[in-house]
Amino acid sequence: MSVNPFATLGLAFTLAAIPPFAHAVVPDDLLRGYEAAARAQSPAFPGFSADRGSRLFRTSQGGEWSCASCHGETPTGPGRHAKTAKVIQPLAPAANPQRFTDAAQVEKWFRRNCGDVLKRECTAQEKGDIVAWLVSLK
Amino acid sequence: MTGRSTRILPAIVLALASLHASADSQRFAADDPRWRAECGSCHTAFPPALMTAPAWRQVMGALDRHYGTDASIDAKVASEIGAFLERNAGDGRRAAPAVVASTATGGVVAPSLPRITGSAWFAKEHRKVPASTIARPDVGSLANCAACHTAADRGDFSERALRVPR
Repeated sequence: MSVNPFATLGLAFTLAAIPPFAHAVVPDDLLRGYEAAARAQSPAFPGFSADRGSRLFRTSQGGEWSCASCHGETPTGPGRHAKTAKVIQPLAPAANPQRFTDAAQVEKWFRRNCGDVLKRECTAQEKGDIVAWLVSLK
Repeated sequence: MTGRSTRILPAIVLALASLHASADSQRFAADDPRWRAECGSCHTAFPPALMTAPAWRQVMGALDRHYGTDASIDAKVASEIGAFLERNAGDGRRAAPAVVASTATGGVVAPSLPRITGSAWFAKEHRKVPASTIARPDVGSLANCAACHTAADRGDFSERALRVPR
């Protein structure tokens, strides 16, 4: 018959390499979602700014902590929890490719940590700015 | 000489045996991937045996007010982790009990949450740790088990894996 066994094997490898679709996202998928939400909130959506994200990340917003209090000023390296001192793995995808690949995890942490830092939830604009900064780090 | 060694040897054997027994009791086998992932991201995933079931129920019932931070998680995952903690909870002297609501204010003020570090057993085990060691930036807190218990993430709190930073 004309079935090429090597081609079949190649297809099998290709299929095995595709991650399960449901949960796999990349940071760009998240940014597209934040952009849609930010546009809905403000038609004058100015785009995401890594600079704004960096400032937000590193400055305390009236409360005791900033994001950097636990994640470090340079999140390509590990951070240390401000209260328990446990080492926190790097947040920037360049240093830790698992970051920002699970939308539910990302939303859980934004909800909790924005509550700790800002005493409120973050807006889509703020989340997008922060993610834009983190993905720009090399 | 012979008489002395016959007296000392059994003592050494006994001491070694009790050391072995205590090393085994410092290993915690209970494991659950959700507990490891959710409880272990900001602090060591603390062994369930170190608190009683009612104490764990208090902790899991107030995740949004978790020792000064919001640690709330998906309700289904929270109830699964809660069941794991209660199933493997402790009841001996090492287990921190639930806190009792203060009656001084007529029970109006919500009770604080129980703490593993608050048990008499925990205080005794750590009584020789100098305050200066806890204050080091790489230790920071008695909750940072892994600063000294290098295999804490595997539930191993034995002396063999103990390295107190100096």
